[in-house]
Amino acid sequence: MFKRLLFFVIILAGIGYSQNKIFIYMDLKQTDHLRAYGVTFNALRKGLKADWLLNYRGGSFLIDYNDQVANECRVDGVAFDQISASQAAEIYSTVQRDDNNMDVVRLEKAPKIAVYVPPNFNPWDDAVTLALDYAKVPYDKIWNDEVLRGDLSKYDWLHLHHEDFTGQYGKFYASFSNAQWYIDAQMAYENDAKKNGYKKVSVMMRDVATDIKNFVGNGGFLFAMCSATDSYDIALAAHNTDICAQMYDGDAADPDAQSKLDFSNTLAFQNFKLEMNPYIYEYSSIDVQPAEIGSQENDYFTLFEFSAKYDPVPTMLTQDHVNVIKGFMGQTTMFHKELIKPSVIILAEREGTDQVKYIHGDYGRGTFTFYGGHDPEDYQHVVGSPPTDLSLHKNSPGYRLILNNILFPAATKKKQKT
Amino acid sequence: MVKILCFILIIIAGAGFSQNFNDDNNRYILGENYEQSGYPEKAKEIYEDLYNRNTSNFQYFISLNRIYVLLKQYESSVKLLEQRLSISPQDINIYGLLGSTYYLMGNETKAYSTWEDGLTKLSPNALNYRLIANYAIERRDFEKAIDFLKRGKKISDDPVLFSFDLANLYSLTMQYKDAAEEYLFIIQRKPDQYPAVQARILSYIDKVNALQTTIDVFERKRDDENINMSHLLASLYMQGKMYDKAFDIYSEIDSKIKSNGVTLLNFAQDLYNEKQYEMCIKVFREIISKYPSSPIISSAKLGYAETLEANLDAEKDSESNWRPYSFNKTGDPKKVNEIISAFNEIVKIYPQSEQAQEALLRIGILKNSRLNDSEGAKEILDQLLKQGIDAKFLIKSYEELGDIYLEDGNLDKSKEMFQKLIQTNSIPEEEKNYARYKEARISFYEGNFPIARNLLQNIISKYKDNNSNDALELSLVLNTMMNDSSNLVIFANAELLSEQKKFSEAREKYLIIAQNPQAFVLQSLAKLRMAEMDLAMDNYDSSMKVLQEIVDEKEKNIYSDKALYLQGNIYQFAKKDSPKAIEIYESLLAKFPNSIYLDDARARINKLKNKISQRPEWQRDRTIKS
Repeated sequence: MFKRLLFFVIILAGIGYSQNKIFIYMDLKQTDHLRAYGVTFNALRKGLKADWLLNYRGGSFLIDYNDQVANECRVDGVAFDQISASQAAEIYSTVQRDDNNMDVVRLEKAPKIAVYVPPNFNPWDDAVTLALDYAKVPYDKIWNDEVLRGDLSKYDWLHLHHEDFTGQYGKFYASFSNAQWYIDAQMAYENDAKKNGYKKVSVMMRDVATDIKNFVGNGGFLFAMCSATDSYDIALAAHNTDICAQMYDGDAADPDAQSKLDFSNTLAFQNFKLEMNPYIYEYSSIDVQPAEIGSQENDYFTLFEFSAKYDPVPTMLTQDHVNVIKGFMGQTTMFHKELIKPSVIILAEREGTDQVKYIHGDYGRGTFTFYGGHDPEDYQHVVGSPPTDLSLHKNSPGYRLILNNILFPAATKKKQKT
Repeated sequence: MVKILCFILIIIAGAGFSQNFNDDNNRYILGENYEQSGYPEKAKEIYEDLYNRNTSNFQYFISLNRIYVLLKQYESSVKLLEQRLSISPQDINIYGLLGSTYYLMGNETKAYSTWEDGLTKLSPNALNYRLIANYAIERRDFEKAIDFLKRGKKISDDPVLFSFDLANLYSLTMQYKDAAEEYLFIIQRKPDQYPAVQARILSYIDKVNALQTTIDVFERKRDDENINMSHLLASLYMQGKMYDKAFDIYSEIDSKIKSNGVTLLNFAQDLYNEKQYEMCIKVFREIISKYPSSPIISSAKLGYAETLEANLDAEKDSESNWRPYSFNKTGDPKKVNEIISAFNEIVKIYPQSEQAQEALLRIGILKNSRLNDSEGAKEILDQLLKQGIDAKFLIKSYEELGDIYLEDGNLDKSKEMFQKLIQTNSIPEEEKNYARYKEARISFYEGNFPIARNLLQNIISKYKDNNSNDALELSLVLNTMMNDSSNLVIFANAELLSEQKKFSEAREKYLIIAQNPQAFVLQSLAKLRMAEMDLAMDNYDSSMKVLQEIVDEKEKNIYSDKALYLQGNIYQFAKKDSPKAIEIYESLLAKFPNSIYLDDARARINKLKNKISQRPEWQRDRTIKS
């Protein structure tokens, strides 16, 4: 009798202690996938713990119940359920069953985010800042001065967008050399170089690229999109040579630049061929050309499925409510598979082709993720295009992939099951 | 025979020379192809060979130097250029190229001295400075280029040419004061260059510090006699939104060039586009009083009247439309009459014209909506309809008249107006459907429910039509309550009274239905309408009480989410209690997750939160505590 009583007391105490949860489901029923990331991120900033339920209802989030968070969900239009501790326990048990390709990742601390953008940048120039602003995720803007003086160590996560690390000003010369924005951008870069003691912009950018690489080596998380992906690796490969034509850095490119590329210094790509013609709007053979892609109607890419319990990182990066996603172009749209280093994980590609959209790899104690294309909801974003209004794309699967990257550094590292 | 032989020999020799020439030319083209295809070494071989065989050929020389630079073989380039210099010591371009090569070698001192040599050794020529400056610009050494250009300008017969170059470099290097000085120099000497100068200045004026620095320069050196300089300064004032100063200058220009108000009219149009109505009115008044006989006086008068009206509309609180029902927002009668007089002027000057038709329509609308003078409005609009007027004015006139008759309680006449609209061939179908909807409403007010229903049915079937939603809403009431005609008649009567803005009487009728539990759906709607009538009469506490009753009924009353939303509106707009408004909107989100008001509520929460966060800390605290 006493034992029974004790059992009931324990159960009652358990119920008293057990906490309700906010369950943010991320499947097709979610009303605003993008803001769901912001709510979770900001819950972490408040010191709350969150669990990321990989592959469970589109990669859902469970947060300890908190009135403020619940209210934020409602104000931001994020659909959620308030569930009891026992319902949460049921979900946990489903997720952790061995026969389900699911897992729980505890999110501990919101990463400190820096976005590498020039001072004169417009928010719509960059899909990541659009997504962060829309999701209400705070970030700092940094530029060459900050990188060169070592400020990267203050951040956990760094985003690069369509900046050109080769010092060729985006290779826009043929089309835009007389445009005011191009002239201003070149002047700004040159002033930056002069201020930091460089004679050439290309040399300054090479050092910036090296500092960023060191940031990754020291445990930083790098996320790059569009031309920041290939131009970054090209800059690293070209550390011993001059690949810039006269109109970019004042003197001619090294005619032997191609043979002097050092692929051991790059993060993701190897054996690529430089596009040395300064009038051609392309850096190298890494990028997939529009003619290879064909019509927009057929441009879709597929996310790979990884084992949540054995490969949690790629699983986190590929959480989405759909696994076939419409493609989008950029200065760098996709990467040729044969030019990707074998150590790099391919996260998404165009099925049946050698065109890769989304990759991830490790360097030193950190990681890097490259995502081709400019704006997931603007198929052919061109200079002067109006900004994308994300309130019209609340459930964008392409944008979700960007936001997976900002939460992934918050995950607690746990031993891999091998 | 000798002659023939000579002739043949000449032909053969000529063919040989021509063959040789074609060979060299083909080889040169091959060299260029190698160069363009990324084989500079092969190109170099060809150029070197061609040049060595014909050192006087400038094309070979320039290509060879180019390929040396491309291959970064700067020593060879120096040697070639020095050799060339010994042949053509008067060619300034060789000094330029040689300096450039030294620059690329990293020897800036030698580059500068080579360029200087070119300028000092050759006879003084301003164009040489410009040429050498271009070599410095190519090397993006803008400061050195500026130095050369400044010196060239001093000895030039056409210093304006140099000023354009200098101004361009100064603006590029963000030395806006110096850029402005150069542009000023140009305008002072060649006033006809005003359009080019203005275009160049405006291309960088939005950069930090550029505008004020430029204004300072032009203000300091202002010359009233130079009209273009005044124009430029006025346009800079416009950029800086210094409209008063711009007005002073344009007035002076107008008088000086005797443009009869044209300059001021253009200025007024710019002001109108920038929604600077007060200043725009001032300018129009100036034109009308100063140039009464100007050919542009009619445009000025129409512009004046339209600006007065736009200004009156702008005075309306942008948030004044939150009440579902409200009295007409009349303006200051003095101001309204001033607008009417301005429109009357147009009618007088151009009777029967399109402008006069528009003016009459505006007068009619203003009389009814701003002066509550429905008789006056009817008279004007009737007069207008008797003319053969444009379709767009005809539609608006019939609609306005229909509404006025409805407010006056003359339902037959109101219906007649809308029916006339339906019968007019030349108007779009959507406008006809609006008229049909209005006719249905009038039938509903009259108690002719089956007729109303039929009319509505026609509109509902056109689901793409903007009127179909309103039609559906009314149709729902009709269909649900068809069997309870006594309550429906009372409700229809209340609806008519509310449309006639007789809110107190309407509230009494709604109360009858609200207190009748038999009234079923109408009971809920009547309660909501009671609260809306209270709101129209600014009885916020009473409205709040009724709304709370509806909210408390929860899912029993289908309008409980709207009631909560209206409560939030009252706190936000009437009581100006932002924290409480936020609280109400947040509770709407929590209690009614499927409400159609969610998006509005979210938008308002975000707007109010932003407003609060922009206030100083101490004020934020106080607001929250209160």
